[in-house]
Amino acid sequence: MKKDWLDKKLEEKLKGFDLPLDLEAAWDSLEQNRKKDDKKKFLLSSISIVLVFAFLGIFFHQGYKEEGIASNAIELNFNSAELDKPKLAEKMPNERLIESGVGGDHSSSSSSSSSSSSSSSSSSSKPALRTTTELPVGSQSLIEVKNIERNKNLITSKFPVGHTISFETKKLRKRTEEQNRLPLILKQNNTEQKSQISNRIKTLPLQELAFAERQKELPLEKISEANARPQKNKKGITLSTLYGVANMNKKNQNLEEAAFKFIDEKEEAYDVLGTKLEYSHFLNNQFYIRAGLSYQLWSDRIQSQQSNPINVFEEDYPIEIREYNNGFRDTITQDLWIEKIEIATFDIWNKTHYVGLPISIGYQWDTKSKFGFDINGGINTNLLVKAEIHYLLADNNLESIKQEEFNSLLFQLEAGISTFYNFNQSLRLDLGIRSIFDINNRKTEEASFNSQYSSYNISLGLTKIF
Amino acid sequence: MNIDQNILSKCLKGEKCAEKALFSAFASKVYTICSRYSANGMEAKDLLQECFIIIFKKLYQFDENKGELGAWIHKICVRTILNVLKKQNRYSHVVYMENLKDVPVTESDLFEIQETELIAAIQQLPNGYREVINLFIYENWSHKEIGEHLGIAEATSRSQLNRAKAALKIILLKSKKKLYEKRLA
Repeated sequence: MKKDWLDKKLEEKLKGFDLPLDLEAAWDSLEQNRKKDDKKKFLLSSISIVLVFAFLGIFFHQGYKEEGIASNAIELNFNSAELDKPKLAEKMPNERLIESGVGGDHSSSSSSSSSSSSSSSSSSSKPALRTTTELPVGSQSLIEVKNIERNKNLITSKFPVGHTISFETKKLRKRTEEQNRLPLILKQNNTEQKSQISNRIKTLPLQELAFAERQKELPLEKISEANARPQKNKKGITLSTLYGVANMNKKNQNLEEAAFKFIDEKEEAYDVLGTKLEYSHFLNNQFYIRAGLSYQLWSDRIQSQQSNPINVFEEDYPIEIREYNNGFRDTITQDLWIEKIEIATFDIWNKTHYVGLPISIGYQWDTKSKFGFDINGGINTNLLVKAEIHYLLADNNLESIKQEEFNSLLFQLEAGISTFYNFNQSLRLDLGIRSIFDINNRKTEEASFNSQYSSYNISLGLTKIF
Repeated sequence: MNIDQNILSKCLKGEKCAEKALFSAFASKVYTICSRYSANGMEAKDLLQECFIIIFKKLYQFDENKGELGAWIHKICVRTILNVLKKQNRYSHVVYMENLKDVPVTESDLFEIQETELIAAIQQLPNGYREVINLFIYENWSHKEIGEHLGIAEATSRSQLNRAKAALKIILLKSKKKLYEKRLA
């Protein structure tokens, strides 16, 4: 389509024309804006750098802790059946055995040290200290996982003989429930043995400490892998709440008033408040399906809206004309489009309540630390419980939208990503962001306008795993 | 515009004086473009700032062998404005004003209208009309290009332009009427 004379005239009219502008004021406001932009950029980049370092810190710190635990972990086997040292030596010829002397002093320690190198030859009924890396899983031996509070001075020559070493029970991370349960049961059933052991190990001689120190390379992972079993059939109940803001995409369909036709089709600032009680069934360590019951309240903030100017066709519109030549005035009439700024100011308040049945699938990623990430998505089938929508028009007439104008069913698409913190094996806290999108329109075809919402929320949830 | 290479290179180094010189040289021109695309002066000033932020950011891309600085700035401005408007998602690009009658406007009518009045008239147009008029008349875009940009059919762009022009004529006629009234007063 080529330009006609009017197009060309309009183009020519503005060719080379520049609107006057207060340069100083414009420059100042530009500078202010750029400063704000720079600040925002700086803030954003700082936050992202901090976040990256925080995550890296968590991972590295956790990695260090795991390594530390592995090197510190000593499992003492005081099974009475194995206290007979020769037998034990026969069973495990390659195992290094060290005799422990109760309340041993330096001299006795050194002698036991020498005997440890030729352990099979010496006969003693003293308990044997050994690593349990080769112990069969589920062995009935008394197993205590001890974490020596490491002190680098312990194995130096200056270490005082007969020094009392404090032990503390420390749970190894990344352990399955079964792994945790075993020592617990044994502890309960063998309290006597435990107290004996405690008495003994409180005064472990230096050699044993040295031995313990040498076990830094304990392949802890092997134990974990051997005992690790997929957490099938794990279940959980999650109580979560969400809050966010929503946009409403409005489509006028039966509105006849011209003033309403040019209302912005996108309205903002709807508040969403929701709560959910969901049951999760874990398919394996990562994937789960979740279903439950939800309640949502969609409520807009009271607001005033204005319609845009409208053009109204006026027949026989009077136009006053004055002829300059002969100085008379006349009024002619003409059919014209006249711009009318009919401001339809009205307040709206709107509250809709839905009860829903959300179904979702999710994937959770457990990091080595207590933190993890979770991503899930699904469909929520909602039933309208109550709807209150009122428009207060400029003439103070209250117009209410009837509940009958709403579809009783609302399908929504939901997706969320969250980070969680495991308090322990059975309790975790989720914090994340969640989006909800309406699949179908909320109102029927008979309603004056149709609407679909999309919301962006922050969610907080507590999950009990059993 | 007398912007020499020295000022440009200083602008690239981020020297405020040079940037201000560049701003002073082109601000009015850019403001005029922004005014054509916006509904009022405030909006135009916001767009002006957006444009200059982008101009300073992308100044390193300017190659004087490829064209004049003024033309480059004009291009950047139009792109920026269209992006901003798209981001704001403000426009429903297809606007229907029922029963828009084509009002005859003569060359003399246009002759009497001031440039500022013409810009004010364009600002009074509904958002979608304003964009089509600007792109077709002032940016010389084809209907195909406009359709692609606005996500509408080529034929729709044509009909939108016709309606936009009809609406503009009505507004211009009103301006003329007001002009008469002023003269009478």
